[in-house]
Amino acid sequence: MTRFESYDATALRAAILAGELSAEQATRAALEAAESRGTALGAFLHVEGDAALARARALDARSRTDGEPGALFGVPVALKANMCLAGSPASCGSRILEGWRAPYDATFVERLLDAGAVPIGATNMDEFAMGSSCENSAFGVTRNPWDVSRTPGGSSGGSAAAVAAGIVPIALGSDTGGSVRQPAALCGTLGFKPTYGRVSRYGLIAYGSSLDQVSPFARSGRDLERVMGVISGADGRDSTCIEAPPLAIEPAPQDLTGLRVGVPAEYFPTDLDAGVRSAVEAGIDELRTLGAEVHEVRLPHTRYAIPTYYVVATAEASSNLARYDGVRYATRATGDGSLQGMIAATREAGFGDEVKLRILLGTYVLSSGYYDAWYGKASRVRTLIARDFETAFGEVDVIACPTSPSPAFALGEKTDDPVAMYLSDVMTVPASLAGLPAASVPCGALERDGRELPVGLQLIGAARDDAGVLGCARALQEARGPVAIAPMEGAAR
Amino acid sequence: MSATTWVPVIGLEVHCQLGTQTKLFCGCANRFGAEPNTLTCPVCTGQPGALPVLNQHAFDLALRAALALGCDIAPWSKFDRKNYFYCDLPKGYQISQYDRPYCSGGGITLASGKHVRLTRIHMEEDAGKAVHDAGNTTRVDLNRAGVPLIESVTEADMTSSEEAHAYLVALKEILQYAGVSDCDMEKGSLRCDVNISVHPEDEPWRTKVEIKNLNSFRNVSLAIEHEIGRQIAAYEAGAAIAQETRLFDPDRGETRTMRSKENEADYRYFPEPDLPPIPVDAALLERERGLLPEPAAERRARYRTELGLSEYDAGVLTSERGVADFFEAAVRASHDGTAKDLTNLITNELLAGLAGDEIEASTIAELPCKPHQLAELVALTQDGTITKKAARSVVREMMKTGRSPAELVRELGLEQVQDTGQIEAWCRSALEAKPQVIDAVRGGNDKAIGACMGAVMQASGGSANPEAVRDTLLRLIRESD
Amino acid sequence: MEGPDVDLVLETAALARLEVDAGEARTLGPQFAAILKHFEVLSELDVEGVEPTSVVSTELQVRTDEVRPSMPRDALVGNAPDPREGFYGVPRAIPKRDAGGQGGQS
Ligand SMILES: [Zn+2]
Repeated sequence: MTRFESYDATALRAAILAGELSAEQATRAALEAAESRGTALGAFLHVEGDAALARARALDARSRTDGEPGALFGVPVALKANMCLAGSPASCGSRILEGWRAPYDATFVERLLDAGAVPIGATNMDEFAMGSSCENSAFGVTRNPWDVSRTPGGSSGGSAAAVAAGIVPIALGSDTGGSVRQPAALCGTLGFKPTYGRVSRYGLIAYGSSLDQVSPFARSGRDLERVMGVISGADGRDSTCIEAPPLAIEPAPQDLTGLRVGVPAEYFPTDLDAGVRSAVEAGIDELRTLGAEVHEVRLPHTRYAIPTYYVVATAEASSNLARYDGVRYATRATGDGSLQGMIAATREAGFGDEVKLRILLGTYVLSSGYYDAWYGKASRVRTLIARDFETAFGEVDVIACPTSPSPAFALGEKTDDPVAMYLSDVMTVPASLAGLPAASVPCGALERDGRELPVGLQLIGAARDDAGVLGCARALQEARGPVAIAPMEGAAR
Repeated sequence: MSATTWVPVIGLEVHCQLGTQTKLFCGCANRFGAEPNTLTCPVCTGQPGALPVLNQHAFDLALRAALALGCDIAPWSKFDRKNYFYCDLPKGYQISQYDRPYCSGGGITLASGKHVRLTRIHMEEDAGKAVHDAGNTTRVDLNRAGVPLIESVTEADMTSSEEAHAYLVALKEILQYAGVSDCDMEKGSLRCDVNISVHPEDEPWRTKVEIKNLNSFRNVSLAIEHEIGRQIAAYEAGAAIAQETRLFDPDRGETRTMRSKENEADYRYFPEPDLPPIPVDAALLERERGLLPEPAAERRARYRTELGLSEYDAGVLTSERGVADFFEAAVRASHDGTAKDLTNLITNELLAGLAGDEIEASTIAELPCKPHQLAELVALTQDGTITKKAARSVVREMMKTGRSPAELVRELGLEQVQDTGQIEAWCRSALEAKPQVIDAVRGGNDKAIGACMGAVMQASGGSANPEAVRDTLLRLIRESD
Repeated sequence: MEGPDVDLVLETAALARLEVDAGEARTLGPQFAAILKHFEVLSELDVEGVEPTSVVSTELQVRTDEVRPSMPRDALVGNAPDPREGFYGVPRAIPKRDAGGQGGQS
């Protein structure tokens, strides 16, 4: 590992601009790390080395002559495999999209490229982002770099592991019900889910359309702000995108003096993992030390969030995944030779078990006779959950709670029990349902089987207060010091 | 024993493509007849990750249709997903409107005085086109996928194929006039489904059957006639009618079962999460109201009462809004009392020319000659410069080139010959050739003079003033006594 | 709310165009039932008069009616499993049984 690999994106960009290394060297280092550590972790599905190096060289050629360098100039990044980069594979961890190359660039990808970022490859994920452990990928599991016998979390586990292991300083994931915050917590990185609509979803392959948000991982608070400054902002290609300018790339550090931090009792149940509880409480103490006032708040509908989320997300997914019918792209199975037979055979062969289960659930909750009791009911409970937050944000500026009820669990531990797996999202889905900005920030570690496992503290903000949440996350991270790169315990190095 | 009187009950669902430049949710051109799959993009082919963005103008046109049909506009509406699998439906769902259509109510009063009520109109995107080959394949063209549609649904207010036909003609006229759609059934921009049942007079309504695949007004009439006959025959034979969807086969002129009620699809409608609700503000409504043209029925009445045209002429002129607009512009540029002459030139020459092969333009507005030029031409016939017959030759040239009528008259040498010496010479030769005309006229048959008039007009190449010819012929016959 | 049995799984699978056989349905049935049982907690809540939330953003972004270039045909049809003379080829389909936006072709 070169010394530059511990740099965050902000420092790496500065080093490239100062001539300490070239964009090509930075990219080459990332590609080598992806090859060694990335392979050991199963972090990447595809590494696009030649394309990345070509882009980096072009940046090096340009840097001497052209004007203002981009905010991510020369910074290698990893993209979750559900993101469209023209000409690159985006399989979503699914057989059904195996071999498919995106015919266009996502808006946020365009913005990354314009800012000088160098995408090096597509990271592993639970198939179509359906999962909380990265074990539902059709192309193998991803491992947690703190303990390779454990899950990195999911569904953006590949991106989380790549950042935690120092392969890239930043990576993009997508967060539907916690798919960035939870792996960030389990892998000891920062992760940020923006307000719904803050980042254009154009080019993000949909799972749950009313919940999905492109969300970055980073190892510093300032990097989170920087990436958000690049990818956020209005976009004419997504009707749900907020009509607002991008967030600031280098906002001033936030002073937490007088910040009202709400702590909801519902997120500290009696059976909460003791190690998680003490680490999160230490994080909240840190916020207090920084000048924040801590108050208790109530979010009474929290217990309904998991069923609400799974009804809404699977309903949307059942419809979003209907387009994989073998007609226009990717794979096709023949079936009985009829059109409908071909469609069914393609879907049978192409989708994994968890995806099928969720499509079934989503189809069921929308079907005639069940709609009112399930989808109709859930979308009304969703309103109640959002109102809980509105009430709370009348009293406090930000809510602090655990990101995940437990640290990284063992691979295979929950694969046979979908309900247990779904419950691991209990702390993250409420903010998703309400469309609120939320970050996960490392707040300590606990020991399990002789290994240190990171714990994340979740900061949830009021709608559109992305800057406030990011500022608070940065203050907490900076107060705690640099985020450590994972030691790759148990991996053949 | 008296025969039962059967009463048909008919409702119509009409899909109409909106006349936008682009599709409903992407910037691909809304154009008929392009090479397959050349008007597509990630959005309208349902590529992973692509998202819809509403074409504001499509919504404006839909609003205009609703205003023209007297519907109640909802203060807000939303889009829903209608889920089903078919090879021409790229996303596996159609973006449509389910429980909150953008308008409801309204209706059309037919010429007969019958009022047909509308239940609702909603917006949706069109599907692509599946071409079923003779062999084992079907080929899919997605150029049409995503074209904006409005679907209007009537109450079951009609009782005959004639009423259904009259409703369709009136609907098409209103939508065309409002500039909402070209309503060209041949291009598929207007498509119709029928709901139909029959019941004995004084008895409650019976089971209704839906007929699909009706792509011409004639087929709508034929299908209704056939279906009424089929249902009555079944009931009279003591059989039942099943609630089902039937397909009209235009080749055989009959309907056949497509699917029964038990096989009704479950579309799993739910709100489209990619599109927030659509608000309608008062300013937008007012603007669209201001853009509504005078309806065809009102124009027809005005042409008859104010311009003295026949019902037939008024009907032809208002058959298309473009023609009526052209006519009115020409009338405005003309002296009073020329409406009939303008009408004749438009209906006999311009419309005939458009229907023929020689003229490139397909609508009157696309012709190179403009309404004010037609007015100039009629003025030339009125002041005696040219004959009406010559005017017809001039207008045929104008249609091709758009040149001014005065210029064409000069160039073609069509100015009427007022030279009495020349006219008299032509008349003398005509009478010499047909001496029997002289006797016939003397015998009191003035009409016989026509034969000589024709000869003179021919000799003059149409340039002789017909009245002068007639007067000269009569004078010469009198003088030959 | 009644628990879905194996038949329901099969019916739902047919609706979702998933080829689930009876064996799979017997495995999925209990999983399905367990999940729905867990979700039944929703029935405790009275949501009378509560508006549903189906889209989080409140303002609809629209676009003007201006033609943008379509994609080259090969870039899209070229990705298909069975491109045929510029069309997407599929096994022979029976004419559409659906209403919305259907064409008159057969
Ligand atoms: Zn398009």
